[in-house]
Amino acid sequence: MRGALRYFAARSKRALRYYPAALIFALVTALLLSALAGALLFEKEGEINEQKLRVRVGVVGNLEDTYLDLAVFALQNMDSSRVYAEMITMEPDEAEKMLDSGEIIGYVTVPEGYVETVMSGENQQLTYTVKDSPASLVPILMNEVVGTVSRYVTLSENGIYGYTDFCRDMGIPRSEYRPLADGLSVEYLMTILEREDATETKILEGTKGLDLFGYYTCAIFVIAVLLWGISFAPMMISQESSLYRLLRFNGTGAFLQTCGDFLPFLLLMVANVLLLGAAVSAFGATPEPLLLIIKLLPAVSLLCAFQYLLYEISKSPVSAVLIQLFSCVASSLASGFFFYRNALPESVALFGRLIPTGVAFDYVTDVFRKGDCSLSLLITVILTAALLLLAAVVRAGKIRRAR
Amino acid sequence: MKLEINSIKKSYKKNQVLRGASLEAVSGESIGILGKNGSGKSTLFSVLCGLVKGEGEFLLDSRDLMKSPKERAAAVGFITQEPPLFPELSAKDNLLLWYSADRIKKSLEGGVLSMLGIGEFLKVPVSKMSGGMKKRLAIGCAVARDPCVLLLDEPSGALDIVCRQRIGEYLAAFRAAGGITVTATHDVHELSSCNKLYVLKDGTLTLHNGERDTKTLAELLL
Repeated sequence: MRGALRYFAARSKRALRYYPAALIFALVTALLLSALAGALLFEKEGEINEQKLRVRVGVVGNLEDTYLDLAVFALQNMDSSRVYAEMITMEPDEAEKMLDSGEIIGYVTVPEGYVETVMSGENQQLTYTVKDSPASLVPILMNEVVGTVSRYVTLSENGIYGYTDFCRDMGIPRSEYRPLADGLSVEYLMTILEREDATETKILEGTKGLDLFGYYTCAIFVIAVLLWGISFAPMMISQESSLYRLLRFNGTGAFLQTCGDFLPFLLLMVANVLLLGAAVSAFGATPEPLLLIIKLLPAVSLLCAFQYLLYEISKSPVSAVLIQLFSCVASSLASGFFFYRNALPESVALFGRLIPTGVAFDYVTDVFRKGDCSLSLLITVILTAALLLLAAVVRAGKIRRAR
Repeated sequence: MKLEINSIKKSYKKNQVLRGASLEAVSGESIGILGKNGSGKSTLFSVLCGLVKGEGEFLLDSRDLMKSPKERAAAVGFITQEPPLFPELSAKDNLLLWYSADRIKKSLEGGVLSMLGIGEFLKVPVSKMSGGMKKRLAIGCAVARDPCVLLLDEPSGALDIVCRQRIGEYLAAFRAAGGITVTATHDVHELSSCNKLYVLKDGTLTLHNGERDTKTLAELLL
């Protein structure tokens, strides 16, 4: 064990000599990726300014109901300066699937015969189902739905006025038609006033998916870690096979050597990531980004283990860098970092979820959603250990084959 | 002290590299092993050091070191063909892989590191050292545990005369103190100074008691 500790110390000293260059590369990469994220955010906000926040909301109900159809039609064709939600009618299964994948931010379930029951004075509730969306959108959308119903009801009052005009034209005494007209008006008024129970909000627990900006933020984080790992290539490419043999001879076997090689790499990558978190926290004057980054460290460990294995397999500095670059691009593509995962063929999407980048990405998204990370954390830890064991096996083979 | 290497066998798939190589030595002796490239010299050392699996016995005073890795690591120093050094680190940092800081200091004052002259380039990065400096440093690393047997794999490759002399003096002192050196080499000068010369051919070691000039040695390998 003493030999292993000495080896770790020597590798750490070696790593620190390469760290300044790797840190500069990390800073440049972080700035470029931040600029990219900022451009995406600016474009998104630009779209919001232009289109008045067109969020997509599902509407589930009896699509053959003319009243529901009319309400959706009315919403979609109102003055664009007031409409900020795109209402899409759909079946219940489809709504759940689209909510799960993040294509809609929520859906409204309109019960059968809702309009008739409201018109008859009953106060049946609409259900609005969401995932963990920003709280501010919920009351806004609730108001929008309620407002739609109110407008529909209000417009229907024209029917009452038409009725009274008809009675007057027919010469029916006021004393006869007025009580009925007043009664109808009171019913409608009571329906409008009782809005606080007009809707309930159901939050669907355990849904997957983030909005597109959150999705790509997670993807950019994983890509950044992979790129930073490539910057450590000069440090990680080690061809001292005679040293490995001598260490093995003196009792520091392949597994301990692997630990001695991996830990300095991991520690420096963690330093990079924590510096990023500290910088973002300082910029935003809030500790939350740093705390979030700390929770992402298991994903960083997994990605480092993946890259370490690739370095161990490589036989020369050139092949090491090429393998790292190719793996970064290919695994990012398969894991859905460039194109939304649901847009990929099913087999590719499944493969992308099983490889280290996909597993890391699933963990990162779970952390971002503030959902239950325990399963994805367990998978991340197991895969990290498996990759390191595999790297140790490769090292053992190198020791045997060295002359 | 008596060293016995008995019936070492090793094959790679269908290729039998070593077919029962054996040799003997006593305290103070220098053993030379001569063989063509690819004859199995490095494989022999790898088996003796436990880096690859093989059959046979590696006895030191009747204790089989093949069965006791810890005892073997303490008793045997292995000097590889390529120096086992981190090029970015200094001589001292490389020595710290094998020595404590105190032991380095003591050894530089009057021990093996002093004899090898490592104090002259203690703070020089390995990448800036000459071949001779690297080899002396490699020897210094290999003898950290004060072994009594040294296995040297091509120790004199690309060394200048001064460096060779320095290393030679150290090895002579090592043997004078009772140690045994086993050297695999092509260097005629080194072979000529060995007490015993073995020729590794067709997977076996044969003791050569005749002349050790270049012509004779070359004929032995044919």
